[in-house]
Amino acid sequence: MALDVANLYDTEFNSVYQYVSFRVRHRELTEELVSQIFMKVVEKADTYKPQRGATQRSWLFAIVRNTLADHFKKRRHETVPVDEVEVVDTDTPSAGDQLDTKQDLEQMYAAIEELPERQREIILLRYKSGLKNKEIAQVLDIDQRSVSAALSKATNTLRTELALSL
Amino acid sequence: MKRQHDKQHDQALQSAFDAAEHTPRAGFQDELRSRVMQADALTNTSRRNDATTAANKEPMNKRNLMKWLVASPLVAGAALAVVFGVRLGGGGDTTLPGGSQLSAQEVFANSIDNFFTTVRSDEVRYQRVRETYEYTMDGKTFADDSIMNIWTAGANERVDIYPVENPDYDYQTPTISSMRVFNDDASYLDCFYTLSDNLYYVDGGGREFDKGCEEIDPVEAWWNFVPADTYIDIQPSAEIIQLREIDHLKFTFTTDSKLEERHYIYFQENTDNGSVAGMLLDPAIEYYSLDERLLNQQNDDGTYTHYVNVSLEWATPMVRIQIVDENLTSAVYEVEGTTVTQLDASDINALYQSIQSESYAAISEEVENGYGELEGMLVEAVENGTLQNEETRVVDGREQLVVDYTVAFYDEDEGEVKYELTAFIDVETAAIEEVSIQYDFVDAGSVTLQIQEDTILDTPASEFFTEEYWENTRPE
Repeated sequence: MALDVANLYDTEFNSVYQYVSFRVRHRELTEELVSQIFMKVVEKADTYKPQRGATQRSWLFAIVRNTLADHFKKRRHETVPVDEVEVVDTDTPSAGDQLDTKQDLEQMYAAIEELPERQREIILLRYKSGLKNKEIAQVLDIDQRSVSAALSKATNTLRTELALSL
Repeated sequence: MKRQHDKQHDQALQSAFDAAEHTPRAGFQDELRSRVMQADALTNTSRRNDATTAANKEPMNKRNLMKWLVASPLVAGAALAVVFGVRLGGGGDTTLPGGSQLSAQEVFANSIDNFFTTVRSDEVRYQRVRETYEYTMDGKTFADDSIMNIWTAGANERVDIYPVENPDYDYQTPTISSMRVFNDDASYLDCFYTLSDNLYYVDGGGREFDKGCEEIDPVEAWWNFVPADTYIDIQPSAEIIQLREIDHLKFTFTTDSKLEERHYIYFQENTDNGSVAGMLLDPAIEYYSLDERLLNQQNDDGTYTHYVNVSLEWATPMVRIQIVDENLTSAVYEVEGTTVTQLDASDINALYQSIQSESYAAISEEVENGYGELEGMLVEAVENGTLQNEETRVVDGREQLVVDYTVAFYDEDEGEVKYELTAFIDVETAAIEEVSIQYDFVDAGSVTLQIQEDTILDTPASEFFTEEYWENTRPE
């Protein structure tokens, strides 16, 4: 089954953008990295092997992850002041109720930064990119149960740090 | 009620992330789409032309390399298995069937202490289990009519069991399993079985093992398994004569002859402190680790230079390169700076032993330290009734809580070692039915031993992790 690059781009652009943007928190850099990622998708499209069990999505996010890993190796992660991050609040009332100030956002970034790297990856793949646990396991090449365990710990930490109320 | 509560928490967290939506610059998505589609069109044209050309040529090296790389969870695991002596990077659990000769407690204890299962038997035995076992891979449990061959070795020999992924078959139905038997001298034997129930072997130690094993077709076997280190009969057919420009991302090396489809290369790096950091063929990067265009660039003097771009996770004072041909002979080179030295078997064995002991000592200490923390967490959770169950499952009509705990040892410089435990606890009796222990080496894969044995059944959760229980059940 050939990789449908156009379809993959249309369906996954936002999830990739959100993940990358949340990791680097810099608009121009995000654009650069997202561009690199989709160019790699084109370049490596013929290496996608669906029979290996990887979905197009998990294959794509393996590239996303690797591109970011390369990036972070080349330059230390530079935390961008929250004021420079373009944040557009959603129309979600519940979201606005719970995270509606820059301070809240900064707190959220700080809480995520405090997570161990693996948990940080997993929580963002799950909540910013919408990957399922199985897909996350494929991307990270770890057991799905490990994903669940890490996700459980990370969400507990974030709930505490962000004092999400119900 | 609790699950509903968890769902509400999940929704609240999702809402929080949704509120932090980052909006792309206006027009960026369309601009990039245009560029991507243009590149895709050009690439497709190029691929069609290449395919036409390739039809009249020898099989492309890249194709075979990629085929090998596609199987890289095993490749990575196999390579590191020699170093760590455990299965790494496979992304799945290895379940020891109930019919195994291994005591669950032995496995449990030895896994913490040694990462090895030491088999206390007097002779090598071979057990074929048909239709009676389950194993998990990628978190999915399989119970089909496949066969798992279980080898047990003599005293002081070590056993490693892992499913082997065959790229020619459906990934979700791993129909091949493999067993590696390590001897004290680092030689080993591997057995395979395939869908057609043909059994193959590669005897790294140079000895016959069992009539149940048939001689392997090396080329066919290669797709299933890359020998991690074949220390005997190092006879490279392509010799590295120069290696340069090592950095963390790429390096080149030159050989005296062209690398062909019968050659395979893999890399291993060590950290500053000498312990092995990980196999470099991370499945996440395999799709662009090696590029055919960067291999076999012929020089004026007739040699061939190969440009290899591998993402190295760690500082790289030393890289080992191995070239293996279809006869399963190999060459191992130790590279430091721009100096490349071919190692003989004794050097490699010494290095192997050194790395092994250092790794064990460091990891064992970490795990032992973490065990106390884990113990406290679980006991406290049981006592407080605050077990965080991700899910429940039903086994033989009885509901079990699935409880996950992770103890992580993380250091920015040294990396992370994680100790994960999943306990399946009977809802009615609060007995731990099954325990899965996982050691995670970030970027190096994971080791999982899953235990299901009567000796663990009906042990109340509140007692299971007490020091007394542990001490009383831990074998000498």
